[in-house]
Amino acid sequence: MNCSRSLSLLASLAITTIATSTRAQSSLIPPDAPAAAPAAKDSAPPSTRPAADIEVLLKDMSSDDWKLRQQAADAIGDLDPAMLPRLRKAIEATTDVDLHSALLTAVKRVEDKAMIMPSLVTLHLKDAAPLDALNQLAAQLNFDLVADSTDWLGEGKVNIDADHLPFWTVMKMLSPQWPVKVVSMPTDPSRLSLVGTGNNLMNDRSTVAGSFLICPTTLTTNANIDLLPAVPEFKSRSYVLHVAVLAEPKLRASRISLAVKEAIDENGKSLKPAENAAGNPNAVFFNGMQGGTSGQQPALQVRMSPPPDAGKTIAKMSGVVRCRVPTRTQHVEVGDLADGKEHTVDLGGRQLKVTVTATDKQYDVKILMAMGNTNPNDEQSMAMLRDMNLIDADGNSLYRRGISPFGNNARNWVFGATFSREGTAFGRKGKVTGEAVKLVWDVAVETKDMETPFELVNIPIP
Amino acid sequence: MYRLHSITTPLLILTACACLAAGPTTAPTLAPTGAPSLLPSVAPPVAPSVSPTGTPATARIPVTAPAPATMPTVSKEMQGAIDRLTDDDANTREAAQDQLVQMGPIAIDPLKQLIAATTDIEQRTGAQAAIMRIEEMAMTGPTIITMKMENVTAEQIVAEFTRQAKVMGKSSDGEADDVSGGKKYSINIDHQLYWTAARQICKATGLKINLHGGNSPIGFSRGGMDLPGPYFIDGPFMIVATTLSTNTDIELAHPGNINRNQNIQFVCFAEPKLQIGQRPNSVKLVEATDDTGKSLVAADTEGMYSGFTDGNQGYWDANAMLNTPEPAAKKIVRLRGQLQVVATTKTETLEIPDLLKAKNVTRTAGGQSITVNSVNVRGDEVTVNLSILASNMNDGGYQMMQSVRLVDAEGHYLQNNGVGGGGGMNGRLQFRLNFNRRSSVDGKDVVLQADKLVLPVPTETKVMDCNFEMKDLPLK
Repeated sequence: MNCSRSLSLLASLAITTIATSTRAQSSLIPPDAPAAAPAAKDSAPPSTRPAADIEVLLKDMSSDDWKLRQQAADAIGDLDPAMLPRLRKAIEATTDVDLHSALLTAVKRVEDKAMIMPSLVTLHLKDAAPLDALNQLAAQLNFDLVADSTDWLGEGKVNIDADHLPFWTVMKMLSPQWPVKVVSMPTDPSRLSLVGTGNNLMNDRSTVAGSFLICPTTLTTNANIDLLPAVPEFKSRSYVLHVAVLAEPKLRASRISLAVKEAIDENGKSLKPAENAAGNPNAVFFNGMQGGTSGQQPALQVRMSPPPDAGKTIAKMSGVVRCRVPTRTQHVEVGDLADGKEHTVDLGGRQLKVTVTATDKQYDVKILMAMGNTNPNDEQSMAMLRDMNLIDADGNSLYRRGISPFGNNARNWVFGATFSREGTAFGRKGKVTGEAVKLVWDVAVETKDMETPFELVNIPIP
Repeated sequence: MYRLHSITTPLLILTACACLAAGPTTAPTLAPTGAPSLLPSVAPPVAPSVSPTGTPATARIPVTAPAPATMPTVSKEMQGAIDRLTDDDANTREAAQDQLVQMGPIAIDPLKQLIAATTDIEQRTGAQAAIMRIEEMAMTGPTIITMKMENVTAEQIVAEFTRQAKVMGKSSDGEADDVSGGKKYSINIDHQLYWTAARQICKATGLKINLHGGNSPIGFSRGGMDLPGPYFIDGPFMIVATTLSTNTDIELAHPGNINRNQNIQFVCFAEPKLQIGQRPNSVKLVEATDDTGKSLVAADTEGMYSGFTDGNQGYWDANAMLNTPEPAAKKIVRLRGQLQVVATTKTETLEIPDLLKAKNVTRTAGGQSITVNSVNVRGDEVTVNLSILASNMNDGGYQMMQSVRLVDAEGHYLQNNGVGGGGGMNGRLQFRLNFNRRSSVDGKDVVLQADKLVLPVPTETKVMDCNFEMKDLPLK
């Protein structure tokens, strides 16, 4: 089996790591992708290679021909993560040191891909009630879709035929049929919040890129006349495209930014995008927590310096979404949540004193972190808040209602969060969780920077 | 016309009329476009000298006789004005006071002598008011420059500008870096405002204005700011229009929603002697008319002009929103605007003498205390480690640190090279200040010996209005 065939099978994943070769990156998005593709075509269903093919590849990995071995290793690295069990079995079975090492490398590539793979959804609904559709959708996800109420969902009907499509592609397909809008919850970035009002980011301008929805919201043009010279002259022209990025919460992505490689108008003229389009390169965007405990989904800015004769449309803008995802986590549990009892927790080397106080159906978690060299606004502190959950006896997360701003006493940073047992999580039975039995963290102790290609098309220039 | 609004003493409302009339000539041409000046061009008429009879114990200062060492020399003109402070006519007294104020700091010592000698309450009150106004104007009024020099180097021209710009012990001095190359110039500046004179020097020598930030003096160099564009000088302020911007937003979810706005950016300059506490981020436009006759003055929305930035800065950016002009409009034919700054009018000076030997030395003035913990001299750099009271420091003390000066025994300032630290401990903020000993004095490179630390601590402030007018600004 040749390499190009195996790549074409995986084109829909459109995912790569920074270390991935240029060859792989350039193959992931077809260059002739339709300009205004319908939502369902944002990402085609992923395919898995037939088992027989995998056996052939594994056999080729032991070939005396080094070129054949290399091709097989490349093809295995591009396999669907669903093939990981078979690959791991092959690693265990082999006694050939070279083959063992080559397989480990290839499997690592597949595992990296799996980290930022989109959740795949299968929904076949005809004239379904929105609430039923949401329940069925949410049941297939490993993160919660929540709402303050369901009254606004209405009595409309939704229809969809989706087989193994990325979550955001499904949401875009459903978007015209119901009033559902998605926002990241600044107070609870581990979930997506559904609302009935506000801007719909899942519109025709948005595009699906793996686990991300890239949503251009506003284009600002700026033209300056320099008044200083004796004869005033045209000075500069710039465009700023404001882009909201929605990420699947399961990614637990931080440092989300866009790197735009190309932006051209309808005449093919380059609009000269800035290489690093993150706006403020020092800004640290957490999934829903933008360098602090408030804010919405990351709002990024793509800056361009167009020529004076730029056209009327950004015909194509392509680049990658960059993010940092955890590759190894530390699981920490605090049980025995008796009122007011102080627990000492070691979280990634930071000593915390944690107190949980229950009132009615609400829990207040107070955390003291020794000042020392710690910074309450750094990435580790943010992740500490982001990754904290209260769990009931059935394993359900309680609903996070607020994050208290940082304060300090003489020796400690003081912060915390409020959780409620009451809320609506689609696909979950009942509106009240059980009592909290443990406080848990899955804190990243190893991370990796990943890239996912994206492409936006047909953005009007005012 | 720039105008002062007293915050602490309403009595001291001062307009530019008095200070601009200090010289015998008319006010300088302010707008390059030939726009009529907003400033009065002549001094208010001075009433003839009238000595009221029957007024006992009215003091006179000797006019022509050689004065004793402690007795200041008084011109005939000044004596006349002093005499008229007792005039029966209030207008005459006021005009006399104005005339004394126009004479500037030279009148202070004679007026102090008068206050000590006279028993006439009217005369004493008038003299006291005149002194207060002179002192205040020395801090916030425009500096008048007169220079007639022929066949001299650029360094000599800048040195003379520097000398004349020194006001009340606070330098407005400049520097000329490697600018002359032996070339000689002639210059004739006759009673011109500070910024007019500075521009004239630039024009005559090809130098450009060099700004160091903070309240550091301006300098002149070959590589500074070139400001030939639209400008207006009002007293100690110069407003330069730099950029006209058009911004358009399109809401991509609703492409019909397009918002367009225009704004004009300015750089505002204040004479370095001014200690500015607050400077506005926005200029209030009074008039902006395009060539189709449409007014471009944007509606005065709430909070539009409320943005201020704290800190003493000799120049700053400000902008003004404009309504969208008619498509056919090609220029703004007339633009008038106003901005207000808060400037210090009174300070108490905190001094720490014999600085190089200072170790844990504390001095207090104007409610502020500074402790110099140590001073280190390494090569051309002087490092001062000090602490200040943390209370009442909205900006963490950095603004105050920008005002700390080191001076040598002859009053020359060492250039501030930066402020570090700012951390708190025991109710005090710790700072590390670096100064450069290398300087230029009278056109010569010198290495200064730090003698004392000086910090003017503001104790009274005033709001100053600056008005400006420009013509024919292009819209396309």
